Amino acid sequence: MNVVCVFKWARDPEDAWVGPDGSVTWRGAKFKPSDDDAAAIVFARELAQASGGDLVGVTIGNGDTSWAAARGAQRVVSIPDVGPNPDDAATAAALAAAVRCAGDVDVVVIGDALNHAGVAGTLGALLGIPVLVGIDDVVLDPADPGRVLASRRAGPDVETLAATPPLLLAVAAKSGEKDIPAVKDLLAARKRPISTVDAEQAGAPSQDTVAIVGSRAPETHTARIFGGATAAGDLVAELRKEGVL
Amino acid sequence: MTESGMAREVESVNHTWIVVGSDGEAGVALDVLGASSDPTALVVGSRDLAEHVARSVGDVRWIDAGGIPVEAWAQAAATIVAAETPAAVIAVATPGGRAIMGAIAARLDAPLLSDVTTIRAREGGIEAERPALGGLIVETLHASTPLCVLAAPADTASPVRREAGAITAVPATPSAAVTRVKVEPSPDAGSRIAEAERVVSVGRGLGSKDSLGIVEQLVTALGAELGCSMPVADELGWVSGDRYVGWSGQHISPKLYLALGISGAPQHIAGMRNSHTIVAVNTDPNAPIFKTAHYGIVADLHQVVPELIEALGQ
Repeated sequence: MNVVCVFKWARDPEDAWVGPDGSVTWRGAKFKPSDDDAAAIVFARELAQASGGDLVGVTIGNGDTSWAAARGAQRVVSIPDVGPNPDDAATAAALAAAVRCAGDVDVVVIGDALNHAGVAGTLGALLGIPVLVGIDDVVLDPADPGRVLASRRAGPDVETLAATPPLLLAVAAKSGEKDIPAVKDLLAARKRPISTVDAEQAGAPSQDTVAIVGSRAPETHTARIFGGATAAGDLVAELRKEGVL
Repeated sequence: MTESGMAREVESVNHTWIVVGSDGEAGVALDVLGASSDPTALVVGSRDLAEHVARSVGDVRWIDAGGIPVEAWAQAAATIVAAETPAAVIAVATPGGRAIMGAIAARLDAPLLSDVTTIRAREGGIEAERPALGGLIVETLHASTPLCVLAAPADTASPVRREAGAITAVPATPSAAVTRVKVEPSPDAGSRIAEAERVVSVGRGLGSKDSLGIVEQLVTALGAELGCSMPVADELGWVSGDRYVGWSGQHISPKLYLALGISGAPQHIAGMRNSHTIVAVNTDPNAPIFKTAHYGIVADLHQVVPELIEALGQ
């Protein structure tokens, strides 16, 4: 089972500097891996290893392409000349072009990003494969190793879905990255093959159907802070007055 | 994108669609469209769900999903919606909603905006607003039509029509590639946090699991349920995973949400921002949680919690 892990395809919001008027300036602002990317590549690596397949890292943008190689990808495909896009469908189209450059793929695993909730579904649709979103555990089906069992939280329950590849799994992080690669892994990763493809060559469409026309600070919402020796009592009194106690 | 598509306006009665896969989604989608909207709804679920949506929407098209996961209907849903050439399609960013909306966006070759709170017609397209950068700013975007929109999950009541809308069952074929194997209680299930009127959540600021005892006394005094941030459940294991509030955990909207020692990362805010009244206790006056909270105390929770228990007893 050949597995692609899509990683590091968005900017880190923490790289943004926000002015008092809501204007945004990006500092450095290279694409960075998220906690969801880290969760995704763990499952991608386990699926590839369990099935005897290859793991390929796929990315867009301008960040460090060796991130996936340091976490088990045999090779990486990158389309560096793709910038951030507020349109999740446009981002998905660029990622789909990159995945197509990776060769035969059975399972695509992507981090289930909070800020780009539309990317995974559109990527799967553009690739013509079923999509399972919000997944937090993935294994090969012991009864049918050609099938994947994917679990996710559904209210107080855990829902387990079975899917036959090709398919896309969007994995949500339950924690920060736990097994950060050692320096020797990082150095070895830089020797793994990286295929860099131009957006035009990859068929990644340039889409400008969405424009950010403004940004502003949110409506002022300053918490009323209680202080001093009576803070707790004053807070309880206010909550009672408001009717929530 | 066609020129005729560019000219459509979102207010047109028959040109907006909402997609609903579970309870509560219709209210959120209608809220994005605004009070004067009259969309068509595509319901992927049970007859009960279709009837529930018909209390708020005049024209309901219904796919009887049976026990088949919503994702398996994504392509069928896309075919139905795309055939109607909508100007805008809105769904809630649940797992099913995201799979379906991705399929619709791909089929319509339409832009897809996430986390949108409002849309309105503008010359040449649609203007949308959404929080960005973890809520630090509100972004205004202009998009061509047709436009696909995902709204953040929330607990938003649906308006009720004088007369229930018409429900039309539509034939559809699911993908056979995805099946539901089982649904079982989470191994760490047991909380009623999703239905609780009051929730007290703890973050890393708790310091150690030993401090849970005093927090649980506060939970009892408030008649609340205990919640937590992601690291407390997953990395530290101090609280069971079913009580984790956040993007990939519980999405709740209690009357009172008390955040103790929680900094307010976007992943956490996504799970509780629709709470009616939010109170934060944190030692850091610049913690992002205070931008979301209505009330706060800048202090160590270990000092404040006993004082709150005492005040509640008076």
